[in-house]
Amino acid sequence: MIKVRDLHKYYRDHHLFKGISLDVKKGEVVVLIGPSGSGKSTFLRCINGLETFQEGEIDVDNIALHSISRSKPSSADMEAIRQVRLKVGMVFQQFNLFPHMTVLENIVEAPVRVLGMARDKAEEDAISFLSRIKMANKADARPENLSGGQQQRVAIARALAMKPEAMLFDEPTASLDPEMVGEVLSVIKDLVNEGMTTIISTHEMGFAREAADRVVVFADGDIIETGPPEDIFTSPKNERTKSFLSRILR
Amino acid sequence: MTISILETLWQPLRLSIQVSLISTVLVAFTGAALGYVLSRKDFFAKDVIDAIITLPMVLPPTVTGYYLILVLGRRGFLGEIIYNWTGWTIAFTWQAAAVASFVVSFPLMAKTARAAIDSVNPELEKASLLLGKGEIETILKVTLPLAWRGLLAGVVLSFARGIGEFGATLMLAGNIPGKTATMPIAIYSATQSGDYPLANYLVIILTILSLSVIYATIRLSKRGGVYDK
Repeated sequence: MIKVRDLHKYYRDHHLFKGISLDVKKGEVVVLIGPSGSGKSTFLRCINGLETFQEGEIDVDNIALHSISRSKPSSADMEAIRQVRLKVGMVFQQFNLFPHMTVLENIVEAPVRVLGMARDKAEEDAISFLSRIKMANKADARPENLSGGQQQRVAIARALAMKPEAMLFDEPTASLDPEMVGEVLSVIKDLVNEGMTTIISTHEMGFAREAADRVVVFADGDIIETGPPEDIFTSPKNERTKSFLSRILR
Repeated sequence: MTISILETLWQPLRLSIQVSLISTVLVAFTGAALGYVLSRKDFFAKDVIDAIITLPMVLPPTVTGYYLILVLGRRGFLGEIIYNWTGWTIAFTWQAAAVASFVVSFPLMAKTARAAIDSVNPELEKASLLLGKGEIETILKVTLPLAWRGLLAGVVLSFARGIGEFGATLMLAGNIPGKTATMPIAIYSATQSGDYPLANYLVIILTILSLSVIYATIRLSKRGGVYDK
C-alpha cells in the first residue's frame, strides 16, 4: 500500500536520507523507533507531502509522489499530494486541533468541506466516533478545556472522520503526561486491531512490542534494522540498535 | 453654534471619514494579503519588498507626497497615461486624498497583519492541508479566524493613520475646502487664517476621534487571548 523507494532528502548541505526504502502492506502495522533526530518524523512527513524530497519515489496506493528538486511543486505534484492526503490520515505529537472550533466542529469540518458529506450525517458519524473514544459528552467543548490525552483522542477521531485507508502517527504520546499515554495508545490499539494500515513513530517500546507487525529502526537518517518486534527486542543484530534499546529500556 | 459653523465643521469631518473609510477598505485586503505572503512564503527579494513598503512610515510625508506626484500627477508616468486616456487627473481630487491615505497606512496594515499571521501556529495550517483542504480554504477557515484580532487592530490603526494624514495629502490633493480639505488640512488653514475658534473645534473632534480609535485598538490587543497563543 505504501512503497518508499530510494528516498534522498537534503536540508541545504545536510544529506539526511541517503536512499532509504520501505514497503508497508495493506493492514500492516509498522512501528518506527530510533533516537530523536534520526529522521522518523521527517520520513512520515515525506509520505504525505509535508516535506519534499530530492530523489526517489513514494507510492501510496498507486499514487506516485515524485522527488521535487525545484523549490515549488508543480500543480500535478500538488494534486498527487492532495490525493495521497485523502488516503492517509495523520496525527501529530502536538495534537494540532483548531483552537477556534469545538470538538465537534474540528471533526466535522473536513468531511463536510472536502468530501462534500451532508453536515447532519457528518455530525452523526462524529458523535459515534466520539462515543467510541468515550468523549461524546465533550462534543461542544473547546480544545483548550480538554486534557492532552483527550485532545489527542479527538485528533485521532478527526483524522478517522476522513475515512483514510492508512494512518500515520508521529510520536502521538510524546507530549502527554504519563497517566494519559495509556488512553491514547488503547485507541490506537483498537484501530490497528480493526486492520488499519498504520505507520507510527514512538518511544513506547511496550506498545511497539505488542502492536507492531514489524519494527523499523532509524538512526542518522537511515534504516539500520527491520524485523518482527520479538527479533528486534530480544536479539537485535545491529550494534546501534542494541545501544539504543539498552538506553531506552534501562 | 450657528448652522454655518456646523457645516464648516462637518465638511472636513465628512471628507476625512469618507477618504479614510475607502482607503481602509482597500488597505485591509491588500495589506492582509501582503502580510500573509511575507509571513508564510519565502521568495527572492522578500526583504527588499519589506523594506520598500516600510518606507512611507519613516520618510517625511512630503517626500511620499512628492513620489505620488511623480507617479500620479498629470505629468506623472502613470498620471499622464490616465490623463491621455480619460482626460481626468487624480491630482487635487478627493480620490487623491484617498490614495495618499492608502499609501501611508498600507505599511501599518501589512506589518500588523504579518505579525498577527506569524503568531498563528503553522502546524495548524498543515493539519488543515492534511485533512485535504486547499490553501485558500485553509487561509479562510484556519489562518484568518486565528489571526483576526491582530488583523482588526491593523484595520483600526490604518483608519486612524488615514484620518490623521496631512503631508502627502496636501502635496497630491491640495487644500480645496469641501473637496480635498480633510480635518488636518482644515485645521492648518484655520490656524493660518487666525480662525482659532474653528481650529479649536476641529482639533477637539479629531482628538476625540483618534483617542477612541486608539483606545479600541488597545482593548482589542489586550484581549489577544487564547487563540493567539
